[in-house]
Amino acid sequence: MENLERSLAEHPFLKDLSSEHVKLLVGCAKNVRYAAGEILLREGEDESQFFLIRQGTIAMEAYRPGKTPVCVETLGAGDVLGVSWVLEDDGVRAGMASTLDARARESVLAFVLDGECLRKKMSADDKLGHALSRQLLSSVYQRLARLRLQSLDVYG
Amino acid sequence: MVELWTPPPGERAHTMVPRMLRVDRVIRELPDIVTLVLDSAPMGGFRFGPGQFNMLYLFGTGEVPISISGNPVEPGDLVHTIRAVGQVTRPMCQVKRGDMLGVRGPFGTEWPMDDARGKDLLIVAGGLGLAPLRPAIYHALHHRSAYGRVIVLYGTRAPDSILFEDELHTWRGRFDCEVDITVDRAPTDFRGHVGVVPALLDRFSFDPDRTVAMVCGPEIMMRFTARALTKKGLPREAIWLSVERSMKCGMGVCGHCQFGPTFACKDGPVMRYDHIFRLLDIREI
Repeated sequence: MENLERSLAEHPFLKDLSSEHVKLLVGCAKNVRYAAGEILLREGEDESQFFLIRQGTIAMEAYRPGKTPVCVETLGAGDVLGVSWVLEDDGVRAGMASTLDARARESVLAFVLDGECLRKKMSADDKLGHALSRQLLSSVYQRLARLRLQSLDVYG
Repeated sequence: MVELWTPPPGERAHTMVPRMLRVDRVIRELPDIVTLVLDSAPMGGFRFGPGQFNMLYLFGTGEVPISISGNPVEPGDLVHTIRAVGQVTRPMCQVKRGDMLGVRGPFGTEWPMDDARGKDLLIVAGGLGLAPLRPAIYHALHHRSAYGRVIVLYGTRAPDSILFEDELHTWRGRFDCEVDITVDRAPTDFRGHVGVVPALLDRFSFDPDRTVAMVCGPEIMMRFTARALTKKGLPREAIWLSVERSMKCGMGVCGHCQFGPTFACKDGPVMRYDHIFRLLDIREI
């Protein structure tokens, strides 16, 4: 448990959290490995889990009927995957299912945190809730900025 | 060591009058990008610094500024890599072996290869921006012991638009050069990164106190990359960009390439980020 706590604390997404808060998250987390080709999250699936990627590359792929599948983004160590778990399991979240397949391109090591468990801890501890929400917003904003730049087709 | 030809002191003729050079080889890099190798051996070679450009004249059509993309330590070949995009560059990309081109230059500032000695080099290129950086990479690899780590990060649109792909593989295969590539989108069998160049920076750790970054690509890519580098702790003084504007005379006379208080042809194209970061945010420039 102590090792899991230490490893969690080293992940860039959690590095600004206090050690007390990281300790609280340990009960929601497990250490997992995905083999190359395995799907972590499939298009249309509920994002009930939160992935903190530690090692390896994940391809975010879109499947288009009658056309070649396309990879629109790759994620790697330090990135996170699946964020709509932060919302309650109601109509709003149902409309925010995964929009792409997340496939392990090679062996992937990650922490998987249960969304419901995280939500309960965030509700019970306002400071933890604030800290995690801030990190999530920062992460989502950075991804959005990158995808906006990517959509510009700047290379001409 | 090869002694290169240099203009006699005080002579500026070659900045005003094109020298005629024969096309020795035409290399089709990509459907819209061609590398022209001009034979400069008859004049004893063509000395230039990494980052400089020439004005290439296709007679009857016009003259355009093109960065030199060849090896500064190989004096016989004068190499330019050109995208067929405008009224001059489209026919220029159609020239054949034996055709003649007019050359004025070299013009402009150089990548800071001397100032960067003893430091790590972070070379970040986007699209055709790899061409003006290739001489800096050649220089660094030729004088390998003069530098610390040599990191080349390259971003482009798709796997089928990777410029100098064979050389990127060769550099990546060396034990003393780190190379990584990212594309905007790719088929699922592509093994590289998919995403923007600034995202690629997060995959690499570097020491901000001993790193010099050289960045060349579309201006928007350079802006975002420079900001990402400063966010990672690199001082603006250690970041160099190659600024592209509409160069005409190449000598800072005509004013076409005015960039705030500077001329891109004379004070650039290679400029230090702390000198220009405010200018890059002024939309009217």
